[in-house]
Amino acid sequence: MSGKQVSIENYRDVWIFTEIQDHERVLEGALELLSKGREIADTLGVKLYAVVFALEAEQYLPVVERYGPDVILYCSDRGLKHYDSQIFPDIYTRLINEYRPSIILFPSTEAGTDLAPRLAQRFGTGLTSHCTGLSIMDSDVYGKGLLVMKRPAYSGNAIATVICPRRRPQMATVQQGVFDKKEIHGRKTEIVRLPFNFDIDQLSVVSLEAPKRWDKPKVPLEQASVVIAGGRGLGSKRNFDTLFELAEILGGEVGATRVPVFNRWCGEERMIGQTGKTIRPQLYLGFGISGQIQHTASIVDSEIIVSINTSTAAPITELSDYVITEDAHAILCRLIERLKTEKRTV
Amino acid sequence: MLSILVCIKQVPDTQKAVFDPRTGVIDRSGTENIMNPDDLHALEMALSLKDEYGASVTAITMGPPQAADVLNEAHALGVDRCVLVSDQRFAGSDSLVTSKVLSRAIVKLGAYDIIVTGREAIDGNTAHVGFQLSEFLQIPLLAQIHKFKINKDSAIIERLYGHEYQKIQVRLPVLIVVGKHANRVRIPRLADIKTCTDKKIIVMTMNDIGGTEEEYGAAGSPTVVIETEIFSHKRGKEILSGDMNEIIDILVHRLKKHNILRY
Amino acid sequence: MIQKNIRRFASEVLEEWANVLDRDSKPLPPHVVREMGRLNIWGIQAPAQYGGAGLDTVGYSIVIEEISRVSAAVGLGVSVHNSVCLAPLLKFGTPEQVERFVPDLASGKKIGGFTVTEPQAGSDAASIQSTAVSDGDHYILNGQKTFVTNGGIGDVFLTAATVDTRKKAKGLALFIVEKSMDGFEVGKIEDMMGMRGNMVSELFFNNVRVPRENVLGSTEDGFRISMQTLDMGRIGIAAQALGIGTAAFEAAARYAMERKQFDRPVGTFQAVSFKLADMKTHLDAARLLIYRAANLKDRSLPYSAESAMCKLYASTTAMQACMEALQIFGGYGYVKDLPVERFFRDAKITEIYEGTSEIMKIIIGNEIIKQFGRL
Repeated sequence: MSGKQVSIENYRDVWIFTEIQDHERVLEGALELLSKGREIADTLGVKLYAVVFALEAEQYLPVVERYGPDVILYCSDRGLKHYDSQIFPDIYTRLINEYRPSIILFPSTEAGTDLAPRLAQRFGTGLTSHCTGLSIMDSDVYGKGLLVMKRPAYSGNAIATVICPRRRPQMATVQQGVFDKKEIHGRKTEIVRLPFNFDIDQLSVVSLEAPKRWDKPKVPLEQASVVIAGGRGLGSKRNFDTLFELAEILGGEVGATRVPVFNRWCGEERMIGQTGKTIRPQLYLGFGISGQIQHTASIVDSEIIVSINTSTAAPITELSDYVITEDAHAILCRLIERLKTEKRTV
Repeated sequence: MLSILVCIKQVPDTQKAVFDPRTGVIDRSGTENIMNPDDLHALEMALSLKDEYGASVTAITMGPPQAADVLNEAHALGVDRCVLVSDQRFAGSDSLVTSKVLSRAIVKLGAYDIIVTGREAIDGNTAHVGFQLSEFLQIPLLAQIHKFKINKDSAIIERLYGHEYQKIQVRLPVLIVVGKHANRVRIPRLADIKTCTDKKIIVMTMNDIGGTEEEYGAAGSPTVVIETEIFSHKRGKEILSGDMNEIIDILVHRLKKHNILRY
Repeated sequence: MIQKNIRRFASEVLEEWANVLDRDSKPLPPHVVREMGRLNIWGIQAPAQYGGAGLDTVGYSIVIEEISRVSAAVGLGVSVHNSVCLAPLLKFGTPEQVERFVPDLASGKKIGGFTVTEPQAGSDAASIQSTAVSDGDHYILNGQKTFVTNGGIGDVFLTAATVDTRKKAKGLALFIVEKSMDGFEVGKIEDMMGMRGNMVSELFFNNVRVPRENVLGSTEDGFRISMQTLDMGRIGIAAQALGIGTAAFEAAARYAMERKQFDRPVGTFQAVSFKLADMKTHLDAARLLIYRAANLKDRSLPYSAESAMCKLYASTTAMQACMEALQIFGGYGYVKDLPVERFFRDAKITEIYEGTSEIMKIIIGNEIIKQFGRL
């Protein structure tokens, strides 16, 4: 493992994996991390690095600069158009050996959660995932200037505080939206272009053609990690059917209260509630559901509950994390529209 | 014949877990242990490949002696061979060391074509082990798979990658990561439930996999958990207001914050 | 692991059918029956070599309880098939009979039943009027059976008929009758209060020619085998009642904690929580009585009285639990949208079939007389 011979004092700076989204913009979560990283770097009195890999990477640098990095390391090549789990880790490995950052932060995206554990393995160092809090501490036992990482544990039932005292770099992936982004003006940023030197021929994954359609296997409602549920407030079978479109985009399943089942907008197997199923998804979105007890009792264990309903007095409001007081079908259509533009393939 | 290894884990049932209110640590005596839910889907993946192509399926777990329970369950589902990697000296291992132990045990078990792991465990939720195993073993890792075919010494895979659906070819061996959406887990036959506890479980210790005590357990783990506190999930009842577009903006932002939209 | 997996099967597969079966009074679709076959549910105690699971009777009770917890009608079909068709075949059948019938039954390719009850003969099995007349190497069967569990879907029925009317009980024989035999006819499917979804029906036998090798045991054994078979069957019915009662209790407990009146969950009022406490206590006691009878049977010890006790107690408890559950649900318990009223209707029959509660007391009473009468 490459990091072993070097003493941890030789690792200094703070790096941000500055991810480019859909090769057209800098990921919001990366900008948030740059702002948090600035704070940490200032506390430690070290430099903040933004690392940008992309096709035509130059176009993103002005935006990155506004969030106050001391240095931007960037690399621009066709091979960097998408995140690749062979190319990115290899280049990062070389860079880390050369620059020796003390802290690297990644957004908790598909790319970030692929890259970070691979690098942690290669450097025999620790990684804390999906952090919701970061700070710096000095400890008599563990040492000075340590990154303190807070993260949910036991499926969100507890919060664990984790440090990585003996190995470098200290690494964390961070959920998007946890920190605020903040522009910083009048700071000088040094920009360093790195050569792209990766032998594309050594890739072990060969691309064939793109499939035409994706037939998602049906999972039972109880296992779905996202449940889009509809109720009386959707008004008609046609409106109810729109739920399936959102479910497709979010990779979820459609559920229902008693009324849609009774009116045969959908089958009985989709019924959530006392006579139906009990669910505990990561996300429950309730469209036009007021929340009679027979229904709500079967969704209380959902991690996040969002309710869209015309009345704030609806009982479901009581157990919602987020409440939207609008016409359910209107919000449903807007949300689908938005997610489609964001997720469109290029 | 194909050789498939499935990494599984015994975890406390966090849905029904009892927590010590002071320390935030799970009260293990009052909490039932179960097979990690994603790992059941990993087993199903391996067993359906076995049904289709013929294969010898091995389930492997690292844990204390009672982790044999999940191996019995794997036997009941139709796994051919079970391996328990268990040693006092492994106690307190973090995800990196767990990956190290598993990779060394896997190497000792001999040649393999496919390794399957669940996406993440419900106790740690790190989702590290698959990636780190693939690094230790130097084999490609593939996730978000919705079609998996084998053609001689390669796998033809259709998968969701980023926002795109890809069809790719990879030379075996490969490591595949399976989540809840991958399949529907079969229910074991009563006859196999009855006989599963009579089947032999291979036990491996540190002496079998090699290495030194300092490399394993808490001593070998780079991360240190210095505190755990109980987290009571109070619903925010945050009312999203503004015009339609603003509401959608905030909603999308919140979904990202909760790691539901990952881009 | 048995409980966990059968519970999974019940909730993932059976649950969506439970209401449909009850509402439309129709049988399970064939693919579910096949899946149950794969899981060994049609051969719970049959040896593995015949395609069964080889579980003991405690394991059997757990399976029946878990299935009945979701669908009592399916639980009934499974229990009857296993305990009063397959079990006597395995116990009293010749090796040839076992080879011929058990594999198809244990895998669920064929469904079995057991018929004693006639318009004139129920608990008094000795007054059976169906007749079997010897004719060379066959018997000619004539008669009518009523309330035949699995009647509408079954393929193999152990059928009691009188070979010699003068000998009363001693003249009774059990025949293995197949649906495919000429003169076998399924009569009316009963439109019942509960257990809808089990095709309980009449069966008619019009000069059915049954080969001699289809006699179970000897032609004098019919009554003895029937009585022993019912001992076993009662454990199944008890487990079934327990499943229904447990479902009612769980639904009521959940509801009582959610339903708020006067600003607090109704379950926190003693009037309700005492009801729940009673329900739970009785259900657990019933479970222990069932396991005791099952355990005695597994150790080949006499268990007639114990079997009658567990059936008497479990069915009474189930009925009581359903009544209280309905009360706790209030108006919601009385509507067909929620399953409590179904539990209620299903529970009642457990006090009636495989011997009524009164007959159970006779059996238990006789046992007491036997033990203490000599003093």
